[in-house]
Amino acid sequence: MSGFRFESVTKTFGNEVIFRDLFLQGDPGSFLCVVGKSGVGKSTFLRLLGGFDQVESGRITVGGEPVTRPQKERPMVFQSYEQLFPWLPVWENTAFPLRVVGIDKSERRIKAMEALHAVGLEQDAEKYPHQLSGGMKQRVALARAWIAEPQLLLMDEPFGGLDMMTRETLQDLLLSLWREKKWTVVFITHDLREAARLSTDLLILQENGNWTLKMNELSRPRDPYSTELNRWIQDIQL
Amino acid sequence: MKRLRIKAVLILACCLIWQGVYWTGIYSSMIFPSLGTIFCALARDLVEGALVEQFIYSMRLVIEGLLLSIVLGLVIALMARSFSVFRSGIDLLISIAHPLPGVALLPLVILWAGIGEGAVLFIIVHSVLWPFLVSFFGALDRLPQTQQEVADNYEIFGWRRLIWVDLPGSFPGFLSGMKIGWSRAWRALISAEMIFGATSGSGGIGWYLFQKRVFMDTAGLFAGLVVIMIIGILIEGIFFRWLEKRTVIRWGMER
Repeated sequence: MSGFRFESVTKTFGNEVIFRDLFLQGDPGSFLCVVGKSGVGKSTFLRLLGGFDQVESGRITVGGEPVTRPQKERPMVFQSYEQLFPWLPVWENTAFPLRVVGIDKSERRIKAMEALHAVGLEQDAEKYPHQLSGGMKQRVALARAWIAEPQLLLMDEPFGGLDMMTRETLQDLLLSLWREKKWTVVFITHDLREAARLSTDLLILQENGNWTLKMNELSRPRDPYSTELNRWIQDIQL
Repeated sequence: MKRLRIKAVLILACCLIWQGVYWTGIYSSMIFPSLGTIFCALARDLVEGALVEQFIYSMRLVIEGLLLSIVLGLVIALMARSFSVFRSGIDLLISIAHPLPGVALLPLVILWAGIGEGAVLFIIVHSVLWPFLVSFFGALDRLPQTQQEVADNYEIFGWRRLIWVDLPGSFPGFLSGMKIGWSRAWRALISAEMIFGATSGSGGIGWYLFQKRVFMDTAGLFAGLVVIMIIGILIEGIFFRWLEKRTVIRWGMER
């Protein structure tokens, strides 16, 4: 678990400025949600932090170290269901980060079952991804990130394709894991209610490279339909 | 099960029509033998071993040729993925060599490599390699970006990336390349054997067919054709089907 920093980061695509001079400090154990209209650069923000894209000027550090490339300490949970490998059973998908570092099969299996238990899928360990529903696939992706023992967990609209019920269940699951494991999470969403429910901090990305940071001190547990939460959402200017 | 029954009925109907034509006596039994005679010829050559021997010879050659092509294909694909110049060269070579029928190369192969097994293998590899590469390259080019990023994220590179991510990810293309390759190889082999067998007496099912024609053993000729058909059904319907069930169907990756 580590914090992260954006120091005077600028990113452009051609003439379009995605963000200009972004300063941001994420404390260890914080839960940053990133919102903004589509095309405003939410994914770009996360891809920079993950090391999938490079900054033009300024620098990004995680736990004091500059980010230069993707690393397993910063696992990304994608929105796309293609993030699971269709030829591996659920438990081998979950244990994939361990396989890469050369941990043997029986130990991988034990760790994977532990992680699958945490996301409520130990019954489905032998299934293949195509036999799972969308919500179950995202649970597997979460278990896989969990097994990588993240310094920083990156989530790119992971619940974006799910129905309301499944989404709220997964939000609760993510929150309980976050509290238990004391993860630092950066979570992208286009759903303000989701952001209000999950975050400790909110980054609002706006057009022309502008951005606003907002604290979220609503008391937990947060009822997604309470008047308090609704009022908080109404204050947000996208 | 129902489809199997329909197939059985269709085959039976074909046999009845065949036998019906034979009984009308329109064609001489020298060129249109009865089912019974064909069956006797088949049984005779199977028991005496002539057909079995030729069958084994042909299968060995085609399997050798297929394996050689797949190994070559894997090496080429690996090189092409590492060096873009090599990839451009191979793409050019495919576009030139792919449309060239293997049999058209026979005279040249005879001139250069003689008429031994090496020449037959050359023709098989030529027939298999290009369509296999087209299909395999296509699958490698279409590997989902998210999967590649997950592989980057968990820091898996080099040969492990190839074996754990890229090869299984492109397996549907690999398999369909193998299927096309197999049918091409089988055709190429039979034609090559007819021509080489006639000049060198090296054998194989193609050579068996050729001999039957020369000695006017029409029933034997049909027996050879039946064997070729049965092999086709066994490989496509049983071997490849089995492989698909264990891989792309189990993984939900079939297209």
